[in-house]
Amino acid sequence: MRRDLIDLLACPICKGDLIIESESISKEEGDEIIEGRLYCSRCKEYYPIEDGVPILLPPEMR
Amino acid sequence: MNKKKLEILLEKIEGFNGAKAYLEQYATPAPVAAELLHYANLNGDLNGTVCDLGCGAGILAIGAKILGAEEVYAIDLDVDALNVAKKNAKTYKVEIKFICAAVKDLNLKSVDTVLMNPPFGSHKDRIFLDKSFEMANVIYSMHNGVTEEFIRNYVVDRCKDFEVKRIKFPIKRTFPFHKKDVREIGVNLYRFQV
Repeated sequence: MRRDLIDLLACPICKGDLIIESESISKEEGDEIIEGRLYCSRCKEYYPIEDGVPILLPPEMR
Repeated sequence: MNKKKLEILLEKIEGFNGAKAYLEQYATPAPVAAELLHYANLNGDLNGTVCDLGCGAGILAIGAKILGAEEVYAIDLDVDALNVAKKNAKTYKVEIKFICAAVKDLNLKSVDTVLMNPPFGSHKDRIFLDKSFEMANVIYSMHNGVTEEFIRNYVVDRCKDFEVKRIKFPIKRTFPFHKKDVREIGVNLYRFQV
């Protein structure tokens, strides 16, 4: 996912903002994050970015 | 691009094996996708940001981008479907932003136009309608022809205006419980103005 996509995304549980967890990024191509994680500070929940796609599924649906 | 050309172009979209019956993954046939996309394009609804809700193999998203949409988001619950859609986007050399999410939990900030072929069964299309009305001003969607009255009643207080086109939707044998190779059902193509 491109970094600016974060502005459009929200936590599927609380609808709050998500942040890109910088230290989790293990693969990037240009401004595209290929592998990493998003984080919701309110829910203390992580959402993976796998093969460039943010997976915004609550934990029980993954 | 005219409708026939678009249809021929979209015929090359790769479908995917292992469609899941519980998710009602019925591929949108190229002629149906071309019909919807052409209709939206004629109304000038494919210029801005477009979102394909429940994108499956990505045919509507890819078509929208080919027709000049500025940004296209494609959303699906199923990672396997998204992987096929990503491959298709690569083949067509178009940039689509893919997001894996359940439509009911989606909280994407607003887009201009939603395009969708939602599941028809057990009124699951209501979840898609509710969400699309939340996020866009214009929605193109298809629903089983037999539910026309239900859809009318459902949307009447929720949108300013709507149009309906009645089309034929060929369903190819997808699941073991299908008895025929191809079965045609009546499908309504709607344009909702929120």
